[in-house]
Amino acid sequence: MRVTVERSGGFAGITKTASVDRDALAPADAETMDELVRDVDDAAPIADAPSQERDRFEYSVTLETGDGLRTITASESQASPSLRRLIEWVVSTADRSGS
Amino acid sequence: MNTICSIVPPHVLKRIATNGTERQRDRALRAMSMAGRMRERRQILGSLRFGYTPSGELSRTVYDAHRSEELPGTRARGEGDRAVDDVDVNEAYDGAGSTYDFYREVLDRNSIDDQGMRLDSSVHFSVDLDNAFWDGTQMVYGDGDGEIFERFTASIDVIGHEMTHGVTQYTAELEYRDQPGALNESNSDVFGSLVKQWSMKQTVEEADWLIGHGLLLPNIHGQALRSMKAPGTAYDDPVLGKDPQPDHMSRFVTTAADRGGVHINSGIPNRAFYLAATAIGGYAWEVAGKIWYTTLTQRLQGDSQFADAAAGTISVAGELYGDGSSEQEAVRNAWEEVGVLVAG
Repeated sequence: MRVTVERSGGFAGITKTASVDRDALAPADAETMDELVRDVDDAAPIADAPSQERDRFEYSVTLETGDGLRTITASESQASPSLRRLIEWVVSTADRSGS
Repeated sequence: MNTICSIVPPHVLKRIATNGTERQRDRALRAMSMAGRMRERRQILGSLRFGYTPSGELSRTVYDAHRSEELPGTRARGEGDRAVDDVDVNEAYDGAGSTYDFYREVLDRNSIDDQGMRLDSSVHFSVDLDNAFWDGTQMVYGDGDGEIFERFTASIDVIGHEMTHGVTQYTAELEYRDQPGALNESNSDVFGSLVKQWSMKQTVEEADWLIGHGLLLPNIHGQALRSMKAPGTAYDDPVLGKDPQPDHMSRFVTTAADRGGVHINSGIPNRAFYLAATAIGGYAWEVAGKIWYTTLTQRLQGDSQFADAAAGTISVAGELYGDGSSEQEAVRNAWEEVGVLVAG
């Protein structure tokens, strides 16, 4: 399983990508990853509510599993808490492993 | 600080905040901030914003979010207050003032809603945030991470950019995706840059036509985040990557990211404005700025495309300066040069 987070938009409009491959993780980290992904799966779908916000970050999270690809997109302020947790974890874990 | 308000019961404060004169209201809101009644305060601010009686005056408040994501935060400086010991607060205050003055004096617009809407800004939002945004009611600024980005109040055109998102919200209501979104972004860059040019009294030749100059720290290879003069050339850095903006329709970027590239394809209309303004010459806000403002406030609508902006500015230029005038030709040539119109 692989999780890829793409952050785009914001005032600067710079797109950044971070990715974590479960196979490359230590067992404890892999378990954390499973939990975070399961939480996102369980969370209610994100409503794409009309918003007057401008220049916020946009997230696109791609979950790559044996069953295929699933992509969730959300503006920074509309992302569910569980999706935000997964995003933060992927970004910090990818930073740590330098990928 | 007036201590009188802090002993006034909350329900009375609420009434004053809702129905009082501007001065009374400001005091009551301040007292509610001090008393920790932020939720009620926000509700009142929300309703005020909705049916707000025009004051015809500049009314700024800058809040400190203290690195949280709670808005607006605590009150740091209000209208007429002396400068405080926090550069972000003072820059947000001064930049909101310059932007208000620009709209009032150059474009005869009284604040974001043209009804004297109060200007609220929050600084120190979130932790090391590399961003500034408009939340639908106020401006919000991050501190920057200190490695790539400076604080986002450091560039006056960023402040003009965010306030202009408010102006667009109250006028053309351009949708925030694809071409309408790129026009929304471009208008924020155009008027953000004009606020800077006007406050520095720069001619089209003197202006740098950069957006976010001073936001990138010295070790980063780049002069700014965007260039209206030469989109795609603002930065080229191993960490940041390369400025992705196109300068011509033939290089229009089709992408799902950034709501269809609203911060990317804005390079095309940005350059059209630069070309029109420099062909006309002098101060960009005097002719080109008026044409773009009239188009934004009277011609564009939610689903407007680049071609609609081209048609709108050409027709407005004709109304203001005459059909076949050199001003109108400059505008037409600009849209042709960026490939939005086909020369003919």
